[in-house]
Amino acid sequence: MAGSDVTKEPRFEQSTNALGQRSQEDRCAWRTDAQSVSQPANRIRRRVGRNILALSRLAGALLVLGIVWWWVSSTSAIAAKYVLPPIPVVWADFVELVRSGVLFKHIFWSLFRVLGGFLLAVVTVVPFGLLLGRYRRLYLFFEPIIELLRPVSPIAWIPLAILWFGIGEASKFFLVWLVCCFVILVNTIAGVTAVDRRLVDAALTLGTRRRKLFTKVIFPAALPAILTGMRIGLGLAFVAVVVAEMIAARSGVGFMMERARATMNPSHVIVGMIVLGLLGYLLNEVIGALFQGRRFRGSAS
Amino acid sequence: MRALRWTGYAELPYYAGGVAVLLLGWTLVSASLDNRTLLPPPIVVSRTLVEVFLEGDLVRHTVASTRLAIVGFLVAAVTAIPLGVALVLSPVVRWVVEPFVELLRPIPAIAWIPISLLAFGTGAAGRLFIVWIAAYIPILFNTVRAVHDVPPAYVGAARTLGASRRFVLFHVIIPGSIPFVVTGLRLGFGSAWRLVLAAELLAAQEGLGFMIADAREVLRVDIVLVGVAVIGFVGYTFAKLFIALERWSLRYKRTVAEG
Repeated sequence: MAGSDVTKEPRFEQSTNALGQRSQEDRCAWRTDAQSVSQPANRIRRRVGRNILALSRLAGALLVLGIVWWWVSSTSAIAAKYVLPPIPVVWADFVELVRSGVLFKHIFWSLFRVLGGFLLAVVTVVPFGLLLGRYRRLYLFFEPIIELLRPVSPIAWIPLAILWFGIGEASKFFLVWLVCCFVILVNTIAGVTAVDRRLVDAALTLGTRRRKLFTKVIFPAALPAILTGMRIGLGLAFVAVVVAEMIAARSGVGFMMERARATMNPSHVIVGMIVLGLLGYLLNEVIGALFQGRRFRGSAS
Repeated sequence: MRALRWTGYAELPYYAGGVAVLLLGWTLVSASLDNRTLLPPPIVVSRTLVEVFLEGDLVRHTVASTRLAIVGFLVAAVTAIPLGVALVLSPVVRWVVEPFVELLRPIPAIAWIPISLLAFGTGAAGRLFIVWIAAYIPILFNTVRAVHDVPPAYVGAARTLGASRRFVLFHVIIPGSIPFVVTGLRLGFGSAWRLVLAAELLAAQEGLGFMIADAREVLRVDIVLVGVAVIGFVGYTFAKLFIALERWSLRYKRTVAEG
């Protein structure tokens, strides 16, 4: 079956396969498997060819988008002024932002807030989740609190964070912590409760101390689920921080875009969009690389 | 993903204890604050809830937000599902459309908010555009995955037995992919609901997001808390609805197992 060897492909080759799916040509429902069964050398050659092809298709799409952009900005003066300025104008503004270092300052602050609050959440919440997952009565006690607060959309916390902690860094850290907190907590608990009871019993029978039980048995077994929670949490935190920056901040990519919008400066908005797209993409790639190999060991959400 | 539910009275004391500690802690923190307006005690917030509800503001804003989310979500579902199916089944569509999807996908939906405010103004059209984008991506990708994961053997069996491509599409591929598509719909609605609030926080004259942004500016923390609670409640209700739908769409598996 062609699908079985597809999962072993290195990631960089998968990523060129658009839509992030496992190689689609191989498992497309409309095709027979005979097409993808071939000699190894042949297959490698085909893969290289496929990469070049995928890149050239991306380049082609970029070109088409560029032409549409150019066409819109040159035919409509209003669009060019308020929404889609000519490409050279945006490019000049971009170069100016890079040269003055302003762009990197904003990117730094956004990343600092996301990663700082995220690490804070991981450090505080994972041990708590391990305890809640292990001790059912403790979990029952906290369950209503968690389940009442968890469904609240991350965005809805922003006004409260600003009210309680002002528009400075504290409110962003609180927001990111809160947003990551529930996702990581729930996934950690699910991971711990899914740990094979026999592992725990065996460790206890062999005389494992309580602390070692957590560090050597429960935590490693629950790790895939914890990582899943971390990945989801990081994505939500990224969105929440950018919105918080749009509402109240003095730095960050969200702040840059919102100020540009308020002052009718669309080229900075577009630069911000591209930067956010690249940041989201890179964040995804980095996490994917870090979590590689753990993904198929099963996860809970 | 366990919800609160009554599995027996043995758990009742723990739940009651948890809620009691939450309320007690809240009251104590609010009593210990110098500035009481930053966190009004639970009694004040519950009184505000009744007040805002009776004035009709709460219902009006809730209806506005929910309507926007539902409309944007429906438009996204109608536009994303056919494209998702076509992306897997038609090599031509995949060849042409896939690179564009790949290029635009990494841009998060929030990044579209400022540009759509510039393009459409602060009216409902701009917000609808944002909600559409927010719901589109999860629905599209789950549809692609759903159609992609229909076992080729099913298609092959149907074709061998003489089914036309059209028949296979409507009687094998679409029914076989519904469970994952419903998952995509759930994720899409969650995303739409988040972005409705973000858009309303930034620029709107109605909706729950506007309500809490407005209350924040006049330091009415009690109204903000009421809004946050209602936002959580609505999001939770819809998530539960979609989970029920997922279960319903998978019912054939249960019947097969039982039969």
